[in-house]
Amino acid sequence: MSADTQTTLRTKRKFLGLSGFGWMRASWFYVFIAPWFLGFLAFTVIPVAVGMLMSFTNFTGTNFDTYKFIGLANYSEAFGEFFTDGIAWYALSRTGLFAIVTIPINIVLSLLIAILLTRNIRGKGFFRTLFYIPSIIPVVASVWIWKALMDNNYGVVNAVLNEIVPNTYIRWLTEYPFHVLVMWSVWAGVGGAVIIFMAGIQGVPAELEEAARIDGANNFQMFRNITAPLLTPVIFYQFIVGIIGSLQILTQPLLLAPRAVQAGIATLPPRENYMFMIHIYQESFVRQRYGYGSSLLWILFFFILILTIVMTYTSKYWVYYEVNPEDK
Amino acid sequence: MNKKPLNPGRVFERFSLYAVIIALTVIFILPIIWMLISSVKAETDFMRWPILWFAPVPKWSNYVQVLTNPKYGFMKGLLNSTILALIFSIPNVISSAIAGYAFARMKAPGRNGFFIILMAMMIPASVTVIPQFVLYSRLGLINNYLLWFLWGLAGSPFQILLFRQFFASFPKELEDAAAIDGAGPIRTFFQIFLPNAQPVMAVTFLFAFSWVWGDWFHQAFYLSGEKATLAMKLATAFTDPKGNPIVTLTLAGLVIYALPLIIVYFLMQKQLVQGIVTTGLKG
Repeated sequence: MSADTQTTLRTKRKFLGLSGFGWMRASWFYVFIAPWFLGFLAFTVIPVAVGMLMSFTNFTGTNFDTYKFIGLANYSEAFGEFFTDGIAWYALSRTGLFAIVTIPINIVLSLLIAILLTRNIRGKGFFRTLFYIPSIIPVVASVWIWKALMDNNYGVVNAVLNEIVPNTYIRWLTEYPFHVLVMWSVWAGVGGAVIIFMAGIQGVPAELEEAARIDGANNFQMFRNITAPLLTPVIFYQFIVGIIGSLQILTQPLLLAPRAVQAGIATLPPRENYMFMIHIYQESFVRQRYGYGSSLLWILFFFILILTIVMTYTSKYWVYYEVNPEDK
Repeated sequence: MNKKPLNPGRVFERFSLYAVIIALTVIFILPIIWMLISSVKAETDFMRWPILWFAPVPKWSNYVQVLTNPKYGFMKGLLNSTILALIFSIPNVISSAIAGYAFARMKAPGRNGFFIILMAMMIPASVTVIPQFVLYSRLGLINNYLLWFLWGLAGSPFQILLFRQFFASFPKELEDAAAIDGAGPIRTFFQIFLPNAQPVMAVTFLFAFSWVWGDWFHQAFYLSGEKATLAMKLATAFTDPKGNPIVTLTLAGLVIYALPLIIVYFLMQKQLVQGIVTTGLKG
């Protein structure tokens, strides 16, 4: 390296394995990542620290001079709710149910579509794009689409059901809001997973497939023994992303809620869609209990973290990792 | 693929394969078609029961109404959404490109540590919403587009990762040639690497732009009044003079709002799929 020859001319003192000139070159790395890193400090580290502190106070959003540290009171109140079947527990259980229902449907459906689309059909790119369209439609647009579809008076779904079972009149948005939320989430979420699964299936080495064909494997055996194991890392990734995303669901139930005037942060969805993040917003911004809200956020954070760690731990029993030193 | 002769069984298999795919596609696309055909209906036709699938005469005036009636402030919202999306996207692409370049091509102590932090950021931290709100109100960043500029300037992990993957594939000779010409790191980046990164810049720009364009939550949370964007305006139905919601008119507005994204996606699908796969699989 030219840097080494230059250092012998200058100085031999080194710090962390780099000479003065080496540091001059290396310092550019820090300059280049500075915008991102400063943003990380300002938008993540500082708020995380402030939020942590806030969760131990009785901060209301306005009592900057008079708030007090109240120890673990917020946390004990939250856990008290969990053990006495309170509203926080209810919200968390609804959120958990949403995740348990949505994630498997999402994964199975997108995997199925990806398998169909990779079976040597014409226009697979075109179909893939069609499945992805619901994902690129802004959430404000898709909520109106779903309201129009599911409306009890003039919705398409009731109209179609009426053709099959006359006089069907289901109040989807008020009596089954949770079902609508699940359908909407699946509809909007499958496209992205299809793209990723298709890439995964197409990445299965052709030699493996040919070898299996020569051994006389049928389609199902091929999938069971070759494609599926090689896809397990992708499925695992979808699980993790699904858990992180669905436990923090907030925008969709807010927008879906029937409302008098305007959709806003304070909108209260029907009971079935009272998700944990909505409870947090209600406590923080409607009831002005910022401290308590912060403690709920931290509980959610650790809940997600523990689930992710548990998933990662179990992954070694079902996720197939190819050991290939040439793999990037 | 080896071609097999078409026997009846195989024809049936192919036929049912296409039938299943087309049926699934129709289920996924029908809601969007419904939005399109409803957007040119009169409100009374839209509300009819039994349902009226197609308007007898398309009511294109819905679109004219939405675009021109000053009461709805559609053009103002459109302008605000565009400005806000640009204010975020331009610094976001540049910052992400610079950081991605550093992670791909520069060596320095602690680089891997910083990279681990970058990856850890991909766990979305809703833990920060309350403190962020409090801090921003104290700093006067509420109802201020500057907030989006600052968010953009911080880059985003997915975008940085995309640039990193892309810049990592450049040949080493490129930097050597630049060094021989006496170009410093800044010139090397801006004159050699960045001009060659147009495909990734296009994809990241589109991701950033459509994130802000489609985002309702942060806008509803931090903006109001004159600063209101299209997403905020369209979250509530347009109304007639008596204050009754007109859904068909709202749907017409939503078509104008959502269609640009769909068209651009169709035009750029190859690059976008690449981007989704890179961040999805290798993230």
